[in-house]
Amino acid sequence: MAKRRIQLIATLTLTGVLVGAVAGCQTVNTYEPNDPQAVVHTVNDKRVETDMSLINKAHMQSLITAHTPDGLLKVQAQLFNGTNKREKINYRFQWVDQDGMLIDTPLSTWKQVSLAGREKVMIQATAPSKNAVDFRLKLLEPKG
Amino acid sequence: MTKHTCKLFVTALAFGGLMLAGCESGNARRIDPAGTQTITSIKHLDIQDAADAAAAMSQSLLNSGRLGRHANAAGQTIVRPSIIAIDRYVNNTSQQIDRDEVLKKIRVTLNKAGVAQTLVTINDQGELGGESNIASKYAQQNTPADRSVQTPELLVVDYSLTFKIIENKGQAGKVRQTTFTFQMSLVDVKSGLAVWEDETQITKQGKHSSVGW
Repeated sequence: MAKRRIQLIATLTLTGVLVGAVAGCQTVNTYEPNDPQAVVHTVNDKRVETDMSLINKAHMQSLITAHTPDGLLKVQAQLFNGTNKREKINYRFQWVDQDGMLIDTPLSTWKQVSLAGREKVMIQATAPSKNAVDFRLKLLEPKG
Repeated sequence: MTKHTCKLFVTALAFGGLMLAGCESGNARRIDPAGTQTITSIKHLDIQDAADAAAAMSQSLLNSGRLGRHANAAGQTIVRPSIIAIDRYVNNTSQQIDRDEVLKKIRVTLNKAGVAQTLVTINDQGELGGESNIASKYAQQNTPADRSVQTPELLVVDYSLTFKIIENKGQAGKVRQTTFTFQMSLVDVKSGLAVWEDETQITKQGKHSSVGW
């Protein structure tokens, strides 16, 4: 009798976990032109990746730059969520002047972006000053 | 379950609890206001919400290319910081929100970018008497009552900046949701045209406030 009860509880738990796992899955279908007309300036990036679980949740696929009409540097990064469920990612852009000094600005705060499963998302930032010649993008997994 | 096993189980539970808590204590400590350890509340505008809204608006203004370039009398484009006056602020929320929680950050960003400077001698009614008492008094003393002659500062206002915050609340069961909508317009004072407008929204959802995000 006790053995049958344990089996029943185990079966119910497994079913619950499976239903929960399936319900947590949400992926996005994306469509875009096969031959994009945009002419982009892609940046060769240098990566320091210390959080391996984050790489799959927000894989940084490409970095492109442009300039505003006033000559301010603009950066756009393409992130890809390689998992099958929605993930939130914190990110922050920092700006560096021609002397390598970090530019202090209210624009450099942590922000959060939400990516559906298998979704590509663009995150953008504009430099706070014409002195900004370089940038740094940081990604951080949100708190549990 | 023996007494020894029970002790082991309780110890393991306590240890696990400590691990999960991440060694956090309730003691006050300083945190980075621009970081991810700030409190996220559902009903209120948090500091990171104000910073996010200010960043979105500042970036939109910088991207627009509207500021920092003007045409002179000969029709040539000259590069100089635009002079901005802070116009009407409308707070259509259930809470008191100081306009400078968002506006000051935008002003700082535009000022540091070298594309705009704020005139502080006129108030949001367009009258003399802005946030700088001394500069306002100087402007008053140098402006005749009939305004036949104006101080140079009053002549060069290029744009006014209007700002509005709207709040929208929703609830489904125990889950509550609050959306703050920030709307801003840059108005060319000579033509009265809104030459730049934007809106950004921040939505928060949950049952309880949380520490860190």
